Amino acid sequence: MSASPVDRETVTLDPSGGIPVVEVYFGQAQAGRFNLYLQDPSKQQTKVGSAGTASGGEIASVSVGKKASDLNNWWICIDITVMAPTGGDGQRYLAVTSLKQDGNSLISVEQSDDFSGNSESLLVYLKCQ
Amino acid sequence: MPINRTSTISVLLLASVLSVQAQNVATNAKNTTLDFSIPDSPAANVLGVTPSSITKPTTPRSFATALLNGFDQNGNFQNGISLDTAPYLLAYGDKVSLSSYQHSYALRMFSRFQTSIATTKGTSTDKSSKVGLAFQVTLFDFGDPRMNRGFLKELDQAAAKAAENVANARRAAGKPALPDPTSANFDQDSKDDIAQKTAETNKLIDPLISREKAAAWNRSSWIIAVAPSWNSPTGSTSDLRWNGGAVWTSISYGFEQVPGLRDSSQIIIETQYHNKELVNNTVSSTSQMNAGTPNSTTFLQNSWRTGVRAVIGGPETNGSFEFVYINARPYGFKSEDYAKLTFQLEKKLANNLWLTFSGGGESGRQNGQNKLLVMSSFKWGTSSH
Repeated sequence: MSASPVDRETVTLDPSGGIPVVEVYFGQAQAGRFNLYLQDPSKQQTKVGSAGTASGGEIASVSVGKKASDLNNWWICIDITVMAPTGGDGQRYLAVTSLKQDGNSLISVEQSDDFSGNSESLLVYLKCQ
Repeated sequence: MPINRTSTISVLLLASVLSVQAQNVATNAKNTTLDFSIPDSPAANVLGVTPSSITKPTTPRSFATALLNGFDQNGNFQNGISLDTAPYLLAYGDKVSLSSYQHSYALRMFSRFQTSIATTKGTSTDKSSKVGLAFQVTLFDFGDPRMNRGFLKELDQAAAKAAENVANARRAAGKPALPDPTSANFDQDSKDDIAQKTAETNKLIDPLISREKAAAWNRSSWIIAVAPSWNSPTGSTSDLRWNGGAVWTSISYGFEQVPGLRDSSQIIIETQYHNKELVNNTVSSTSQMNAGTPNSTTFLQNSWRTGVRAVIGGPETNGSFEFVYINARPYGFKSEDYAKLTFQLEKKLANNLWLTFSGGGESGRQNGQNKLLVMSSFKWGTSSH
């Protein structure tokens, strides 16, 4: 578990597997949302799909929208915002970001800390290979 | 709430003077106002010095503290501190999602379960110290922001707007929407991006959260609490002894369906049973003792208190009136029934800092023991990370 708001990891996809899905779980009964971007090897960023939100269910999920075989050396960039509905005073947050393919978790990144205000911004980068 | 330094100092000095005067006037007064509300800290409630509404009482916080000050039931001024925790959220909060919290009543009960410990020590002639331990369950809370889906949707929309604003600003500066993870200055760029997004999000959601808190201050809720306590007459921890326990329930109604009252009014009904409480005897005359009043320096008693409190105002300034009926049963002596009527004015000076002024009196006590109360005090509390 990390208190760092930024995390960069490398993940190995199965090229013959299905389209990867990013899931974010928000603990401590806090509100949250995330946006997904893909960055290609030429450093162009594209926003993917609609945002995932904590209000949508137990786990927010967004499909990467691209076949695994096409993601070699691409970056999956996850822009997360977690918010304390009661106000951040005395509150903690937990965001667990997972990349799944065919239902299997390939990597899981946990970020948690105390709120310093009513919201916190987090970034998770997953380099696909 | 911003306040300038001059007015703060003036108010502090004025309140200090009032407080000292009130302590002198009310040497034998009994405090009821601080003792009768849905309590901030249940452990402080059983000691008779409740820090009152510094924050919404049923909002679970992982760890919170509050300074206590007020008169105990024997009329002695007490200072102390309370520590409150929401143990379930502390231990298992990582496993609680917003969705599961919203869909499970049992999970909400556990998450709102509150434990607290409070200790107070008398000032001036009263050397005693007291310790209270309490457990509180919130059966329902209509002011729980996690259950307000409209408010949560607004938060989500604000966060989306903040992210988009920052992304657009980056694009306008010739940068990608998010920091480039392959860039040489990624560390600094991501740090700046997070700082900008957090600031932008807070700028948009802070007013929403403040508005929600303001709207929720008088929402209906219901709590049940149980609290054992200990007392050391000498103030030494080695002399701590059992001081009975209390069990109480408070239910508040916030007129949610009544326009005109739903934003400004609240009714709280509470009943409490306290057993084997060690009480200082303030009666000294022979005639009073012969009339059936306990004649030792301390005595034990059981008591029932039932009352109603009406609160009018808003989240930052409010006044309240309350009527409490007490049935006190001293061990081996004549029981008595009497009433207390009190008022309280509260003004929020800044976050977690309140100025209060309260007064009232008793009626129907035996042997002319009816007391008057006039008091001003500060209430200060905080939460800790």
